[in-house]
Amino acid sequence: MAKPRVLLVTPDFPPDVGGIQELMGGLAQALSGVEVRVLSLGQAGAAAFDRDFGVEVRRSASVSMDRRLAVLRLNARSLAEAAAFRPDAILCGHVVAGIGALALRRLLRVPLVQYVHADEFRIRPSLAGRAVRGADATIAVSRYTREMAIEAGADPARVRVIPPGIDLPASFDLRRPGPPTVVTVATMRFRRKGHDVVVRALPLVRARVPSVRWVVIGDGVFREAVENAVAAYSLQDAVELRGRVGDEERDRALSAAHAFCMPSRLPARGTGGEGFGIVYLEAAARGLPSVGGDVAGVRDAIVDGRTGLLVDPTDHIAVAGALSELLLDRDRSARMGEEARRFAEEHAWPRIGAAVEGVLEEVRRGRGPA
Amino acid sequence: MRVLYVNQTSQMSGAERSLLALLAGLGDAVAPLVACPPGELSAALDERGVPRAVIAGTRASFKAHPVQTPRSLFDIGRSAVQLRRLAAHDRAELVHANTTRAALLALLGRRRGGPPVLAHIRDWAPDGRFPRAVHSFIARRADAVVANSAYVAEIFDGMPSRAPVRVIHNPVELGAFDPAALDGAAVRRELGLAEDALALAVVAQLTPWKGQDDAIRALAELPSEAGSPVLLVVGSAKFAGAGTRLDNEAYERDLHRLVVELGVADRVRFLGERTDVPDVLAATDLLLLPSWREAFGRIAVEGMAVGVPVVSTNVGGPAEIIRDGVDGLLLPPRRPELWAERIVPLLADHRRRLRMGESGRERAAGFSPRAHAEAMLDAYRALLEPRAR
Repeated sequence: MAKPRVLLVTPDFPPDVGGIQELMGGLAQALSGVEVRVLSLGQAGAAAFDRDFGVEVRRSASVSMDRRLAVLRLNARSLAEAAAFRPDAILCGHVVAGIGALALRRLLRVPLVQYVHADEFRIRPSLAGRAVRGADATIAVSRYTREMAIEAGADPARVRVIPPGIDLPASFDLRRPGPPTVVTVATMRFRRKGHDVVVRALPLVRARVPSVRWVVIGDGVFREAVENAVAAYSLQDAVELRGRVGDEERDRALSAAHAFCMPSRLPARGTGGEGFGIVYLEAAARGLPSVGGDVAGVRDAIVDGRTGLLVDPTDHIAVAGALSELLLDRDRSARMGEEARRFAEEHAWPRIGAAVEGVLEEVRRGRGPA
Repeated sequence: MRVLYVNQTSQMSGAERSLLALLAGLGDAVAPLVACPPGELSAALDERGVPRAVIAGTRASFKAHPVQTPRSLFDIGRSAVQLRRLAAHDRAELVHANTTRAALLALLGRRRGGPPVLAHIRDWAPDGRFPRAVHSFIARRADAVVANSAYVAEIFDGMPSRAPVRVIHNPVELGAFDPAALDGAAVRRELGLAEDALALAVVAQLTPWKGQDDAIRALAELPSEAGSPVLLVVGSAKFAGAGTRLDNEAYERDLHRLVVELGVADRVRFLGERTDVPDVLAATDLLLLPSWREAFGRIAVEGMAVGVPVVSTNVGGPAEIIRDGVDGLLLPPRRPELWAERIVPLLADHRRRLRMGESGRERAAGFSPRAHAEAMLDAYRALLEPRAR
């Protein structure tokens, strides 16, 4: 019997970087029990990426054009793509592609599974509401996101929590020579990632751990603001702003550090924020415990006291306390690192992919033969 | 460079003071024309010899109201048309909208091929559909967005926008805050403060989010070994008319009740509005800034300029101005017991306070109108250059 066909429509997809991109890329490859075709936006380097990707990827419009226009064209293209591919189910990666997906559901009479992350409920509330109300099932990346979907009108019985998956490195080493190092991997496009709070926390950490170093990976429009803050506190000698780096260098940094820190907070107003925070898993997979904000989806990405520490992400004193604890008690942080790795293993892609396939199977049966 | 500045009100508060400081800092680099309704601001402009034009302006609130809202819509429409004419008539190369509301007017009034619009956002805004729609409209339409703090810029995080948001901190005219020229002793005499009595102060309008109640609670939590410092509460309940979201006058009554309840009535002095804030600051040993959502925090810079260490919440603009442990302390909001605990050693350490005051003075100098004007000119040029090419 031929595998069921699944059309994955997602504006966000690698090689572009970001949490949703990473999630969708991993998912497309992890769905081994179905035949996947991806429809996403064009972007620089896409041709080479798609050639080696192993799953068929089609592209429409481009990430570099006006976002609204690009998304509109993606929605339109999804109709044509579906007419040719004849999918048995549609998996929609982001609510902005939900309009086309809902139309397809009606036209082709195939079930639709909608992915939700978090921020879309703040930025596009009415669209997000329509998408989750109209889908046959909704996959929320965390318990927090599930609550938001239900708040937006989704039927609670149709909302599943499936966290993002991760590719596990084969090995990891808990012995970490070198000065006590905190690493942050976060874009500098969103201020809520909490670089400002880490800068404020660092002098307090330094008072207890004089040789502490902070390695920062990521870039964006407010890099200068981070630089200024580092200079204002005279921390230049302890801080390394590495900008955007390749995956390998990032993984090396994670493998050499003693604590991962991203005190991501809720947006200044309203809901949203971190839907999950894959990067905490990336750290965990390398045996690195995390310090994160006790808010939003981060509560699912870090198990407080086991794989890391959850603190008030706006409170630099609390962040400093957590970091000092991890850096000063190396035995404890190594134990946490081990737990973190185990936790990451529970999120290995094969397991997560199977869970998503389970949902796809369920909606296909639920809809019955058309 | 011909710039049309737009301000939707003539009532003087932070935004208007910043505008005046910007104009002073810009000097001859810009030929300004300021569009605003008649009132305090227009009078100040006349006094400084800045050309101005009259628009209707608006007092639109971010909250719907059966009478106010239709009237606001009418005012907004009228002002938008007036601005469109002004921009054309004055041959402005650039429109600088000084507030969120002004940006709304300028963007609604712009015509095709008209000058680019820079939206200067200075306010924390409440959550809700309407404010979100306004910010999203501004993000998509404005040619440039400037926020007065990273805290305010965070409103635009993740919003589809035409240009990245630039953070330019407010300018503060510090001429009046030179400690050498201030007379703190006179204020202390007036208040009957003993020579060795320590004075804490909160300088802000009386409204819940400014957190005066937390300052009072922190004072009450101080252990006896901290002596018996006095808390000066400077400011009054403002905007207490119709359409006010929070009942500031009730808050003021609550504060008076609170000091009695906590047994600190003799140590809390409600001074009301003062015209001699610099002198009051000079009489102060420790400035408190307990607000939960300060967009910028001008008073922090003013206090630092006078050489007063500042203890502030770690949220909002003040956390970008004050360096924790260097010019003062940053503490989580709404935790008076923790504030008391952290303030005690500072009150006991005169030399540390002096050091912090000294650092603060240096830091405050960075907020000069000149530095601000330079940064703003940069933003102007970035906006105009691609068009010139």
